Amino acid sequence: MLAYLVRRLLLVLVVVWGTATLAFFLLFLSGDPVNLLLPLDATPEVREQFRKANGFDRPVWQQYLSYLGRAVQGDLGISLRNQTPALGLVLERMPASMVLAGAALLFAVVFGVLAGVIAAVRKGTTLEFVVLFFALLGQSLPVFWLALMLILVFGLELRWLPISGYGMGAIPGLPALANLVLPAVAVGTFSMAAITRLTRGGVLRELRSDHVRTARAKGLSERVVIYKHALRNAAIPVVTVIGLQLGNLLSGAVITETIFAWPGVGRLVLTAVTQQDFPVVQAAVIVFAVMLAVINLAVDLLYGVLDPRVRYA
Amino acid sequence: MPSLPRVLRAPSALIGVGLMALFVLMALFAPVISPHDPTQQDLQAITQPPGVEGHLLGTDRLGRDMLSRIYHGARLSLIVAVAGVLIGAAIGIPLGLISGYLGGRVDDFLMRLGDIQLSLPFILLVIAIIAALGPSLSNTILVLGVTSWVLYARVVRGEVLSLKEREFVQAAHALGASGRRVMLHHLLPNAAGPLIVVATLELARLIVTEAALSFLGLSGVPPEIPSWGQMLSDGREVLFFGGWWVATFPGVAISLLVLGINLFGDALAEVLDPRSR
Repeated sequence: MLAYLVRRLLLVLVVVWGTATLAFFLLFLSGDPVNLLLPLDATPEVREQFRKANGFDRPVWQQYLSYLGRAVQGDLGISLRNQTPALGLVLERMPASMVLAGAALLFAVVFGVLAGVIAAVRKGTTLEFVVLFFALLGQSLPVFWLALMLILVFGLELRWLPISGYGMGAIPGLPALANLVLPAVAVGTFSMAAITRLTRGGVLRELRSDHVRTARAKGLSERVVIYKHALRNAAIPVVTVIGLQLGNLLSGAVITETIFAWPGVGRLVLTAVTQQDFPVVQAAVIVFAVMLAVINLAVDLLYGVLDPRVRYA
Repeated sequence: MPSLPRVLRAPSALIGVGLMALFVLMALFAPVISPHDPTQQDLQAITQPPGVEGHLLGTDRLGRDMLSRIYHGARLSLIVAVAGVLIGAAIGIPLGLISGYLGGRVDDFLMRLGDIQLSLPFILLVIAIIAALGPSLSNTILVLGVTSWVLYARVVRGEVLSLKEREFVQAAHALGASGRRVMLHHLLPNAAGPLIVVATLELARLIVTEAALSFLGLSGVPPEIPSWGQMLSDGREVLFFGGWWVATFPGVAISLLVLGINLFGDALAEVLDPRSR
């Protein structure tokens, strides 16, 4: 177990190092990093001065090493617009993105598992067909369009829910629940559809298995058979996919935040791109990589809890 | 290779192929079937609701005909996504072959690289690269293509690993076939089925990603070329002034095309792997 944990932590470090390297070399994609880091109208003198001051006149490998050295100490560069550390700006916005992705995940898991179980138990009925159709549809709707349609229907026509902003939650730092609903549904729908289909497949497989037949033969009620015997085993692939869906959810959040004026990292990144504030984009890429690597590790460790057969070796 | 008729026996696959064909025809014949010039502005008829004066789906805020713009938008969407898929496959397939065939450090390196890439939110990666390169249509196609190599490589590598110790491959080696010949003639054809499934999935994903980039104003598509994502972005602005149709119809087009591809991809995956059901 300990050896496994050490190896997995090393892998997290490799992922983070790889992402930091990628973020560094992105600067050179355009040919000259100074172009990306200074406003377009900077004079040649200013450019040269900046190049010297920031070490861009040194060989690339020296720049790379000092970049890594600074990154290890948590220095991911200075935002060109705000003149504050880029890492700080990203971390400041991270809670809002996490709340959105978390709420979307909750929505996706609760409704996805429920719909999946219904589809499996009612196999061959119209209800199953309807659930599967909506699951496929849910995987085909672009998140930003779904967001617009939710705004149109529930915000502008029915006027049930607010369509923009974070709102003031009952608990400081958290958004108002009403403000969270539409963005979370928009971001979570794709994952909900994926989880529905996966749960249905898993439960169907389990319902055909020997231990479920035994449980039925013992005379257990159908409810106990489904929820205690079938669903628990079917949950294992669902947990895997939750780890995979997090990347999707955060991608969705990046796009959706702008639509709902949600104060998260996605909106920060898009503003940074339009303002040519590249260090902020770099910092966001690295922070997301660290976060996802850690979450995926946590998901892997969770298997052991769900499935005692899983051994960490 | 599964025979296409077997895939098409499923009604859902037929619907999928039908939808895909509809959009391909729409793209091919856009200039013929469009009632108006898609770039023709008519400031006397801005944001007209659907059905008014020969505008079946209404007009946008510059008075351009929505239906004609949707027809033409299919062109951009399909060209960008298909080109992206071809680039991704052209990079991913050789890397997967090499990775599986050679194994060892090369394999480790390529697969870790893929893991790192997949562990990032895809759209963030694409946005970061486009921010560095500067937005332009060719950059968008290139970035979408290059960043989608991973799944092709993984699928091919998996097939190669499961096949390379089999008798027919050993026999080819024994007969003196070069590594290149074994990879291309004996290993690659066996991966064709799963590769097509991956390609359909990626096609759907790239269509949505291109639309997202256009929506965010980062795709670099020139404003005179109608694009569904750009139309949605316009629609977002008039949404608040009662112009629901400008944002609605382009999204319906994207969703139907993606739904068609997904239906077809699902049926294909099922025929290739009956256990997945």
